[in-house]
Amino acid sequence: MKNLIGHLDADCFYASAERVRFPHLKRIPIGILGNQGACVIAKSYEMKARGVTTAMPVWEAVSHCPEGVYVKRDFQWYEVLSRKMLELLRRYSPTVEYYSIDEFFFEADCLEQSFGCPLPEAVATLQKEFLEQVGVPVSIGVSTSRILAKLGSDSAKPYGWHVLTEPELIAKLLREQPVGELTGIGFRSALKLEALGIKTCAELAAADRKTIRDLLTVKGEAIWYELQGESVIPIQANRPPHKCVARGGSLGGCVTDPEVLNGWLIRNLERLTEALFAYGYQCGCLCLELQLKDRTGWSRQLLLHGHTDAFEVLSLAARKLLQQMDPAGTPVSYMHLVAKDLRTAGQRQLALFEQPSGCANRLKHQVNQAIGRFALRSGATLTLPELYSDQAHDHEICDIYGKTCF
Amino acid sequence: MVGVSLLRSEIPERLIIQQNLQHWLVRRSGQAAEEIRFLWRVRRALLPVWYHNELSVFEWGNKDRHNRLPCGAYLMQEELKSGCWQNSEPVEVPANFGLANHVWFHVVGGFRGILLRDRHGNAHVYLLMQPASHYYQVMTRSKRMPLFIGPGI
Repeated sequence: MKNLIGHLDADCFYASAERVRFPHLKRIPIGILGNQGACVIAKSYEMKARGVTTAMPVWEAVSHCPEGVYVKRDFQWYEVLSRKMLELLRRYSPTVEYYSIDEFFFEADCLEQSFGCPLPEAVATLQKEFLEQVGVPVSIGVSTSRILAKLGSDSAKPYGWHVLTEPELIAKLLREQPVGELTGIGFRSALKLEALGIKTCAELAAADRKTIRDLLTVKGEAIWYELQGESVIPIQANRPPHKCVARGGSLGGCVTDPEVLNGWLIRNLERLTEALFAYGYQCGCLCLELQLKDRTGWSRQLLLHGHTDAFEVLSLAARKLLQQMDPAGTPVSYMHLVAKDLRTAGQRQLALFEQPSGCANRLKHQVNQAIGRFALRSGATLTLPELYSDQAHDHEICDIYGKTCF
Repeated sequence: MVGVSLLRSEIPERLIIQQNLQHWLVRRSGQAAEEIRFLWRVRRALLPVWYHNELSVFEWGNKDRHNRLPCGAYLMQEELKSGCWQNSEPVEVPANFGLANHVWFHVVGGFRGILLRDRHGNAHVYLLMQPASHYYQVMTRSKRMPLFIGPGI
């Protein structure tokens, strides 16, 4: 068999990662809380069994699972284990895609040779290796396409594996899985398919390709091909270029004070320029998105004079956007800054009147790399003392670079 | 803060027997490790304490209004700094889990506390509290949080 693709997915990764360093958390229901401590962002299977779901507020989770233990998230630690998993997988496969913090696609043809045994035993040995070397339980799927491999690992959870090379096995799995389980088929796409009487993956695979393309565009068509076992979505060993880079999130409550709002704006901009610098991008357009307490949101964007990653230039643009949107007195709960129209440094068109070079930004980056993240930061962020006094806020999931997915 | 839980494996067997802690043994699920729960709401509330390099169990705070000691389970750090309670001894309260407003949370290094003695010389241990961080406040809906030893919340 040639061109096999594997999908390896950690089981309840954040909870498992906490259990690696705190083994006494094993077998007890644990929930990992998000950036503000309000919602469960991940939970152990014991907590899931008691009805706690992801994104459930902690006070609701407590009513479902009063014996549950809640843990503050630590993305720095999760990254350590994630990189360890990536490194381990690269020992056994020449091509690995770092899909997300706890998911990897990989070329699986070499597994038999690596472990010196038939494929099913090799997959089982790989799974055992992860538990022994990293301490994290994983589920693995191997098949002829990404979509089938992922279906294989998802349906094998927890701590299982599926090798889907036999047509009968694949057909059985496709009959059992609803289309909503497929990556790329969201709620709306599932509704569109349901209108055509397509509810299971088997029904989608049996549908007319052109009909699926008309309904779900080329992305839907790719899924259709992958369900036939034909690999059309390649493993991406290197992260494809971004369409945009964004930083932001919850403001940890409703903010009305303009100084505090400005503090958040500059914090998000410092994180954004840091990301642009790390990826080697310059942006030609900056967009500010705000969400209000009542969940209504609006956004505004500004075209820049040429492409830049300079904090000095972008901070003027960001402040101008905030001024134009003028949320004065209206409680703001979420903020995102999005850098669009990205160019790598070599690609950008030089402006007639060149912008500042951003050397202060680079110097700040060097100082922070040597001393610690945010050691040197804008005075505007002094309005957020608590945020900076808690080191856990220094590292968020988007600060883990190289993943192809968020 | 109304509860502290410590793994049974971290408490010497002789202390469990001596202080009759067996009936405070619990498991959070069938195969989980056994814990001993120290809850404020029980009639005679106790706390585990590292005292003179030894794990001991002392009375938690004070529930007797006639006693000259402060009533309650904790003291604010500011009160202590202002010199209200002379002759207090700093102690460490080991914990694997803490309980506040029905929320059990994970604890890495334990809590800071102080030991005061009543007129009979009996030891009473109070947890030291401070204004809650935003994270702790959102998580437990409490305005005060304990002083953590090691990483806080």
